[in-house]
Amino acid sequence: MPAGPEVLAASTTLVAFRDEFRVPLRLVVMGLRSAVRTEGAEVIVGERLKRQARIVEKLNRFQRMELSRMQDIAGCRATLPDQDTAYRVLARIRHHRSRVLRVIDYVHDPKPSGYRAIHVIVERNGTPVEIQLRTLRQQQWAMHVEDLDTVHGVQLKSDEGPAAAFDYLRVYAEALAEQDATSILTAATARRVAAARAVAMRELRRGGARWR
Amino acid sequence: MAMKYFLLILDPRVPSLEIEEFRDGRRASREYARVEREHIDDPAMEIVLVGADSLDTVKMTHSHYFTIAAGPVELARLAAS
Repeated sequence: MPAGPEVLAASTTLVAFRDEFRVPLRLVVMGLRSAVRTEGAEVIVGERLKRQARIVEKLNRFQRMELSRMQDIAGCRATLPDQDTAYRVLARIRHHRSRVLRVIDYVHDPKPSGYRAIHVIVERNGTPVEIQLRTLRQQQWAMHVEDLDTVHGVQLKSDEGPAAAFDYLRVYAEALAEQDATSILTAATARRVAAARAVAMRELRRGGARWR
Repeated sequence: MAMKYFLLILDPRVPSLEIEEFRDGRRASREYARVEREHIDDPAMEIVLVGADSLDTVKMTHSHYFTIAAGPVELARLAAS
């Protein structure tokens, strides 16, 4: 069914709104890149304006969410070598020209899934921009979740899937966090991850379709 | 390093991944909106505009797109791993 005129008009409005984030995002990314460089780390920084489809989904999912209050329309992410560097970059962001509205430290308080990262909402030219700071291992974990979703037809990213998969992801995330902190993976931890993974894979292969 | 913009247009059903590269952010945004609009009735399409200094960075931050585009062989490898 072709999109009606109301849908196209709404899309035009949404795009105009989203475009206002382009320049503030650009400025925040320049600051972020410079912070990463100053810390001596390789600059692995990506930026994006949220897809229209995702904005609409989010508005539908959270009935009370207003477009003007959505803080991740503009987002950027730095992938950093280790946790210390991530915190040092955070300290630099706090001294930037953009005002820090909020810091969400998922390293200190991981999500139930095991997700870890530092999220910072800054304000630039009156608009919010989200910055995510992940270690290489945290990024590796997040990519693993997306691959599992694709391969097994589950939605672990949106908390849908067998419990065993979440147990495994949590244990795996803990192991990576241990490595980020100490650079060492103990044999005991490796065994724990392998065991949790075996159970999760069995569940995913057996019942993947049920969670579709 | 100069910033580039990569418009990723993924059709996971084929699978196919089209990548358009831009130097100019404003032009990239216009094209992003145009392609989104073109596929507004097709929620299966995954379209995103990513700014980065190289395609290698994008492959890292949006590896998901590339895994799916690599097709059934890559997915089977991942499933077995």
